[in-house]
Amino acid sequence: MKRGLAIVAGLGLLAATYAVAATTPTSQLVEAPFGSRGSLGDTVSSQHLIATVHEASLAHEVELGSWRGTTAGVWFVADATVEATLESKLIEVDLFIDGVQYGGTKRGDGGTVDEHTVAVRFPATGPLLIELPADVVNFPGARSAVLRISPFGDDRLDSVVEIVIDLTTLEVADRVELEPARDGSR
Amino acid sequence: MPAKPSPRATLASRVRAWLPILVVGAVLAVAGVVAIPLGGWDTVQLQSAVIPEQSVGDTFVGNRLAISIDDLYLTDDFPDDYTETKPGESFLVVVATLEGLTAEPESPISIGPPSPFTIDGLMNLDERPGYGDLTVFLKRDGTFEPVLSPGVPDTLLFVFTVRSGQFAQGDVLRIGLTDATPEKADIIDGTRWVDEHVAVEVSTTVRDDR
Amino acid sequence: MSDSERPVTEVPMTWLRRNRWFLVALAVLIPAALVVSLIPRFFPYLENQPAVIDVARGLDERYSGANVKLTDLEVLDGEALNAPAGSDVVVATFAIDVVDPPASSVCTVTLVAPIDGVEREWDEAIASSDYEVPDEFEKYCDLSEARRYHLQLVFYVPRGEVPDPAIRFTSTAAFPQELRLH
Repeated sequence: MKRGLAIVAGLGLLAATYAVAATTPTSQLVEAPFGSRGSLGDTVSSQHLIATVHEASLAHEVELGSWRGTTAGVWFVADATVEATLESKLIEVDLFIDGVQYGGTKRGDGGTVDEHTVAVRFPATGPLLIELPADVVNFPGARSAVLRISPFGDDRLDSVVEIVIDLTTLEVADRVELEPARDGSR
Repeated sequence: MPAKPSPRATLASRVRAWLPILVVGAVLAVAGVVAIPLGGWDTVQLQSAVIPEQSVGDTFVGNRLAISIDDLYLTDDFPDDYTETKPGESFLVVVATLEGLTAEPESPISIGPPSPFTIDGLMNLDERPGYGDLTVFLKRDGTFEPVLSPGVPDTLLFVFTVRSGQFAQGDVLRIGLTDATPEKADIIDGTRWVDEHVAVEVSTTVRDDR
Repeated sequence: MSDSERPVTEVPMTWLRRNRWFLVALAVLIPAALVVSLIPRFFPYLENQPAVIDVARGLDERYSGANVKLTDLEVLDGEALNAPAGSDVVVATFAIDVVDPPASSVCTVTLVAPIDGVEREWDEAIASSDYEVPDEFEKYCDLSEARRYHLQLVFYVPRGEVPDPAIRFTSTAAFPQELRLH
């Protein structure tokens, strides 16, 4: 009786170790940044930044200042206002779809807001541009894409702004004309 | 009481015990003799070491990038319309279409992963071009050192500074398309690449566009 | 107390008493283990935290091989100076006497001030206004060679929100010490 119990308990513990090993969170999950989440139009604050993404759309071609942006994919276009909370920050934007990271383009002649340094109480307003695959709206995660606005660089375990966007509801334009980012809010 | 085995039986059982080794030895001996008129085993190329070849314009799908070599030409006009050749120098331009296949943006030439391709004397797996010897542009708008969004293919110009006369119209260069295996990096946030190797070769003829 | 009640009340006492030395050991070892686990990372982290040296205006402070003095710190009306919208101009003037220059150092000067009870920080101006630094002042902090000079730096701060700023003066050679000049 006692031995039977010991065998069952032993097997149970063995199974439990497998369960623990199988469900141990990955370092990616453990070190994930802390996102302050919001939607389009919300003003969302993290430890470092206060950001508002006013509107978003998709476009096949963009014009920003003298730069004409064509792509084999499709542009994610947003208009955002970002300011710093504690000290000046160079900002970075990334869109995450199904765990894949798409970064803000550096092709826009410095006209995008993520190529600006923002200071405390000195917001910058302007376009965000991210190049996405042409058929992105058909991706399973397209309904819950996450736009992350964070200080430039490694954001593991840091505080970031995250805007959840349903890409399938966005308007798709053939061509949009954008104003380069400027100081001030909208 | 068991009977003492006779000497004959002992010999037969011994041969039987050694039979596998004798057979293997015999096969090796025959193979060795047969190989002599064929030039010996040293000249045999391992099939696993043969690098397959593909044509200009064909896409090789690796772990990090899908890449096709589209064109290869000599020019004196730098794509930025600004930099000029120095005396005795020319530019060799590799036009390639790349697509990032990982879950993060990819810089074609960066510190961690292998160079997307190799060209003898210009870019190897373990030897990168020096600063100023290679400049990468996006063909569609001339962006310097572009970053590729995952799943968005684009055509890039890899501009090598070469000596005039180092290459000529009609030269056939073997461009090796590389691959490597990704592993989760321990210290940095991202991927480290191991087992870097040339996976496919493309024989490409140099065009003179000067 | 009758004999029949005694064992009932004494059972927990007995267990505690029987295990008292183990419990004492646990009480000592658990905190000790916590402290030991903090040795490799946390204590060095604490040691590298900025050590702020407060210095009043007009006083010399020996820092990173130099005598550093904040001679003036003025908040000017940004509107009158055509400064960027919503900003005031802060002009900080220093007298710096580099006596014993460190082998290598990067000097960083920022402006700090509390807003809503939290200290905020601004970098040197990248914007411009009608205020121009007079020629007799240097415009960059440099502690790499022995010399005496006057330095003037301009900051832009949110208009009306920074009445009483301070200067944070750091040198990589003096890390983690830093000056707070008021």
